[in-house]
Amino acid sequence: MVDTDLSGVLTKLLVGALILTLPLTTVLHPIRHVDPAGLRDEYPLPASLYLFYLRMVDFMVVERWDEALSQLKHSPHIFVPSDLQFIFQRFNNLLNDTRRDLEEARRHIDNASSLIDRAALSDAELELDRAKTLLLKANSTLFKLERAARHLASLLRASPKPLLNMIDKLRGLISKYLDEIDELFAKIYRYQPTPTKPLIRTILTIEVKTTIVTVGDSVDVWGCLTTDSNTPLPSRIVNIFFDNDKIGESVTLSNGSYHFKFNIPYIYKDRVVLCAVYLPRGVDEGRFRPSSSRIIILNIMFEKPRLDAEVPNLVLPSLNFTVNGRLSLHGKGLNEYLVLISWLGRTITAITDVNGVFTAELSVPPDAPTGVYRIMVKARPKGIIGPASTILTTKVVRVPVNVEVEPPIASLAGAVTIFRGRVSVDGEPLPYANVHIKVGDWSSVTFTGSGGEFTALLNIPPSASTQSYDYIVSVAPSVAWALPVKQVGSVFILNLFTVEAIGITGFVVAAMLVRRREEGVKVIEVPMQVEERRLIPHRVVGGIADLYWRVVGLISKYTGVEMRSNYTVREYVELVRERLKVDVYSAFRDLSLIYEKHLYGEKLTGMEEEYALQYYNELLRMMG
Amino acid sequence: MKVKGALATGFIIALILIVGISYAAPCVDDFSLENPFWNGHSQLKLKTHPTELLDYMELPVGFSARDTTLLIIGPSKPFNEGEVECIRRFLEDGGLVVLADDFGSGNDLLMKLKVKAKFSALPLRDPLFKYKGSYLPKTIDFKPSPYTVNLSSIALNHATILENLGGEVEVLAYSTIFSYLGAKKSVGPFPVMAEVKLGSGSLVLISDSSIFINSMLNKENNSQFLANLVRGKSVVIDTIHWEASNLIAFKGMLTQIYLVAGRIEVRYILVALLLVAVFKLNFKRGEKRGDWLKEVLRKHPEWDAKLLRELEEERGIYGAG
Repeated sequence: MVDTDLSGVLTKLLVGALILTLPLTTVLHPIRHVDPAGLRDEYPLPASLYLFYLRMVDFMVVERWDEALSQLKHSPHIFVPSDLQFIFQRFNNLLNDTRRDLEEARRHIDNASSLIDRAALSDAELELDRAKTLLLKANSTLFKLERAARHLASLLRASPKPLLNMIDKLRGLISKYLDEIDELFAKIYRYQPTPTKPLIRTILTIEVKTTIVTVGDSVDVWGCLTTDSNTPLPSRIVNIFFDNDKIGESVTLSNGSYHFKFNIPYIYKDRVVLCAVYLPRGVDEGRFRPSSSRIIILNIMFEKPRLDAEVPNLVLPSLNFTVNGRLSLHGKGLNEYLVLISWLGRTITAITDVNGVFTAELSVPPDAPTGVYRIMVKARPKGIIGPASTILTTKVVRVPVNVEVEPPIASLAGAVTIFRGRVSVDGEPLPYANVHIKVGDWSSVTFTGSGGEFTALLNIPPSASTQSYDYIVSVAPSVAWALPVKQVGSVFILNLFTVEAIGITGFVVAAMLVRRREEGVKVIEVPMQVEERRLIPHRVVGGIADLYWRVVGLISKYTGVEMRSNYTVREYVELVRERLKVDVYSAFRDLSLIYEKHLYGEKLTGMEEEYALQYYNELLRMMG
Repeated sequence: MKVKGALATGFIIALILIVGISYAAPCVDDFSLENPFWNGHSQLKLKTHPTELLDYMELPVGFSARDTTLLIIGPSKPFNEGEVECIRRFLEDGGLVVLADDFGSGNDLLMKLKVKAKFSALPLRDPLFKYKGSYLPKTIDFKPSPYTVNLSSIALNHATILENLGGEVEVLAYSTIFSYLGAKKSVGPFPVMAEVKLGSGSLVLISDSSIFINSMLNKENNSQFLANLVRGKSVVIDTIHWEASNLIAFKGMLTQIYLVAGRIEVRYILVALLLVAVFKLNFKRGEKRGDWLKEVLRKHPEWDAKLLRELEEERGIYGAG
């Protein structure tokens, strides 16, 4: 019971220690990444999501439509779980519809205002009608957006109030636009007759001396403002529009005529629209109807120069190249004209000389990727001489380097190996190039000399093994326009020490084989050797053992001491010692020792066998 | 004798099993190019065919800086002065170094390169623009640069931000205005990618080391971002500043042994030793089976050879000896 309590306490202590240690471990070793597949979907934070939409609506309210659209385009990057996807998409779509309708409405309102200024009242009315329709549609969308906002908020378990406030802002914008439309309509109505307010129609004419004008030339515009009953309207302001922009105004004289003089801007367009507009002001509002003159198309004349330029087809990184060109008009060079040459995001300028010739030097960045590039050349206009431009192309290339390597045929480990070679580009030597030679794990670095030649000394360590090694010669040119190159090959390295080791090992193996063979021969040849060398069997059947046991039989009879199986040869000799005569004992002992050697020692020599036979004969003789 | 034999056999079998299992077991190390799982770089290896940089001394001489992108992703070990010098030379020669880090030793390298910018130690979160969770924020605000071409979104994984960015640094990407650091003490946008011009080269800093791991490479435009960084260049990747697991270390050791055993001298010596072992074994076996009888007969020629042969056969039949 006590043990159980103790183990429980220990377990709790261990768990507690782990819980305390884990956060510490996290602090010491911050998590660098997690498996995204194992993550649970997190809902977006409602406050952040509302802020995202609020930013978009704020952009709309201040009519920064592009930024509002850009903001909405980020919405696909917002992560929403699958159960929220539908309502999230619907909310975004409705909001985008509202944005698009409001932006369109704004454009129509602005067009209408511009048309009113040019007395195109019917067209202005049409534009305002379109704007109004779009606003009504946007207002309808807002009701749907409101429902989607409530749904979205409920799924996020958040209050919909911030979203509803945001929708109210959009309603405010619609209301503002409707007010503007009303104002413009009111303006149009002021210029239009009603049954209770008949307006007098006005007629505005416009004339120019010629419709063919040169840039910078002075142009006289004149005309007359009268009622439809040909009554001149003096002291009225007439607005002159050139290329759809108001260029000035003139006041009519007592006969209703007006006169306006202006210089043709240097806009270098072939055709431009010119017209005059009369808008009743002050007391004239409610009396006269606005009117616009006919439209005059002015043909603008200016000189179009010819720009010729050329660049090399191929350029090299880190080197400069020249752009040459000529600006001319009808074959004659244009002097002191500014020429802009742009490429790779940079622009340099050049000035034409008296012959219209210009020269500019461009540099190719060392890190410019290889490929085709466009060079834009533009000549600035001056006076009646218009602009000119041309586009050139060039290709950034790097020249391949040629490397010739003379590797050693073979090399010794522990010695210095010499690699020689030459680096060139298009046959010309390439000096100061970095040459890196790697053989196995060993490398050496050198540089090419003024003639492009190199000599690299490579120390092969004594530990290198005997084998064929791959070598890599890498050439990194010092100039950016040349391509680095690698050449591979192989070189044989001989290690005398290891070759010697192999030789010794081979020798040992061979020696072992020879020894084994000899031993095998001995084993097989034993019986023959015995027969050849043994002297005893020729005379006594059974050999030395037979001799011994015969003598033992005699000794046991003579002494009465029996040879038992548990006696050793020497024990038996000691047992019979006291009972034998000295010379008999001596001969028996010597024979026993020879027999013992026969049993447990090396093979008997011929001499020993001779002795054994001699002892046997002596013993037979002595014991009768 | 039998116990010794069993122990030796067991040892050999265990050794073969350990080597076999270690060889077959897939690598699970963070960032490893051989790791095919979520936290590996095997997909990056497939896409960029990088050269593994095992010694920084090879960098200045083995590769043309202008045509090479050096990827240093999630370094965990500090950089020594020699390595920093090699990186500095690589940059000065026009190389591109991409240092992607969050909580590793990237700041150590920046400090030694004398770059003021550094990786903050605080985790970046985004409750809105994210992949599943706020710790996997997305970056959607990119500045024009060759490295940010065709990018609309990049997914990060337990990232941090860049700090101390002075005039030398050009920010390439920011986190969103909804992002925040740590416990919401400061809110975004924060710089998460930047370029520092050093010499003729560029050092691109990315405040997340996990942007190119297998599980993130196919998210958003991460793959395109990688393509922008390595376009038209050969890729070298630093693998020596990653912490290798015991398994990888053991595999490395096995590879070294294999390489050593593959040497011509070692091969010959092994073959010779094998021959010696085979001959020795055969010799002993021969002694046991045939030579015993001959030896007995040699010592006791008086014994009955026929009887001894019969006894020898019976010994064999009944498994004696």
